[in-house]
Amino acid sequence: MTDDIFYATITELNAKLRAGEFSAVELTKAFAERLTALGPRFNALALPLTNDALKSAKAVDGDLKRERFRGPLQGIPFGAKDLLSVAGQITTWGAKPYALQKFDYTATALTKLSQTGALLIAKLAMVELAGGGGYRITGASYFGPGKTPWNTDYWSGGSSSGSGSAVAAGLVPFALGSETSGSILTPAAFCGVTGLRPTYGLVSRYGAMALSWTLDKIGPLCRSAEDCGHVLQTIAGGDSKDPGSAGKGFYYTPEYHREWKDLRIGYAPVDFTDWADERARPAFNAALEVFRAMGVTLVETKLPDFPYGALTGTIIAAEGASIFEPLVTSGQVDQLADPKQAAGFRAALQIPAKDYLRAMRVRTLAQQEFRKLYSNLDAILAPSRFGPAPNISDPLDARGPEPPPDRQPGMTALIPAGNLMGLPALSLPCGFAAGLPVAVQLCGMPFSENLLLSLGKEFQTRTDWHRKRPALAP
Amino acid sequence: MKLTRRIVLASALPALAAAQTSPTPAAPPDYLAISAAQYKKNADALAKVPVPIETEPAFHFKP
Repeated sequence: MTDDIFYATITELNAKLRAGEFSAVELTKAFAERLTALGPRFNALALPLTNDALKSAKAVDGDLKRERFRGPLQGIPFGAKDLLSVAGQITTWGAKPYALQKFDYTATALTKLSQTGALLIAKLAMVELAGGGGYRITGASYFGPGKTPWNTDYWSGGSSSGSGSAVAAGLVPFALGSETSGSILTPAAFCGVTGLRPTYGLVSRYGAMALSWTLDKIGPLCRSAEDCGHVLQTIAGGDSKDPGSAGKGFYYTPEYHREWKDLRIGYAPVDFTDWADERARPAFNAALEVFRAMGVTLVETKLPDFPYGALTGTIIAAEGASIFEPLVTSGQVDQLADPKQAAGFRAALQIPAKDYLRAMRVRTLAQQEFRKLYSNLDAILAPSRFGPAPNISDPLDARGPEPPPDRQPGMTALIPAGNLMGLPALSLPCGFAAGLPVAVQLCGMPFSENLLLSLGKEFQTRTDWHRKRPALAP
Repeated sequence: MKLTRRIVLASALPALAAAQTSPTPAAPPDYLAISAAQYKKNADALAKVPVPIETEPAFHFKP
């Protein structure tokens, strides 16, 4: 096997497995060895599960021999953020107080992947408690700061840190992450991989750590938009064990997309001229031009005027504090790596009910305005993050210079806004700034994943940013 | 040299002055107060949004 295998897409790997170029056992062993050897370099590895994966791989090889094909994920190794439970295995949620935690059940998303023959080779590192309480240092994790494989002096993004860096470094073909507000899109952007945040309720959260019942979502980080489609098709679907489940499935149909010329994509020019980090502007503008060349109609637009940061800040803090109240009252919260998070949880227990309720009522109003916005748009295009990853020693709450007061906000609040509205978003690598990857996101209407993935697939047919590999020292 | 009270005082003065002006170790930031202030700021921002009386919270949240 050459290094090319480690950067192949799911579709390519599955074709080689079916053609008998290598077995599922050989593929699993190769990825597991690479992950064990290189994962610690990026603080990406939480728990190897090689033995169980190899047992399952043997069964997959038997199925392949008998031509029992179960779809594109059959025989494909993968990793999962350590907030998803696997029965009998340690699930830390990235936090020291839970270092020995075990559940006797497996997360629904992982069960579904297992049923199609995908092979879980490891749990991957994450920001402690998915960043609940509000983290201010990249080292806010039981596993240390996540590092991007493009330059280990820089952050991988969070909270699905290991999921982003492991895919980028070719340690797993794909990984599951989760997003409450930015935790898939950010590591996808900073690590240069393709990340999909599904519509709220489309993927069951049963067996996943809860940070915010009304915001948490599970989604894939992959090498391509097409791979995201295959993974989503497998993990989506109604689940009576998840009270937030939308009861809907997803069938990936990239071939049935609408004509590009019939699509209206909103964007804010100020994002590309003023808000974006100067070093990243050429990449973002080039991405905009790719979409223009596809023939879609680019429409200048702006988000409805709501305090999105205050909304997510209140809702996540209040719901998270309720969830982790026992951690706070026991005093174990002080074992977290970031003292800001412990303080954030403590202070959040004092948020008055009226403030939480007001936030949820304002959210209703914002949702109504978003429906109006999307009545005239198919998707919104914006930078996933407005610049490359910060240095791992930089505080994450550092404020840059104050922008001019008359500058329009553009889509700077699209991550909290999209999460509040439960909207799907796809992050696509679109170039580099200062040697680090940057990405754009497409944010669509609820359950419009097929449209976003079709647009993403076309973008990746016209560009090769998703094919770039970091130079890893031996 | 005879050690007078004046000489002892003069030699000790710079050290005394330095001790009085040297900065005390910086106290760690009060993250509890910072977090509480942020939540208050969030609440203030939300209080500025007019909410019609019939608006229900997005409890049964469906996108």
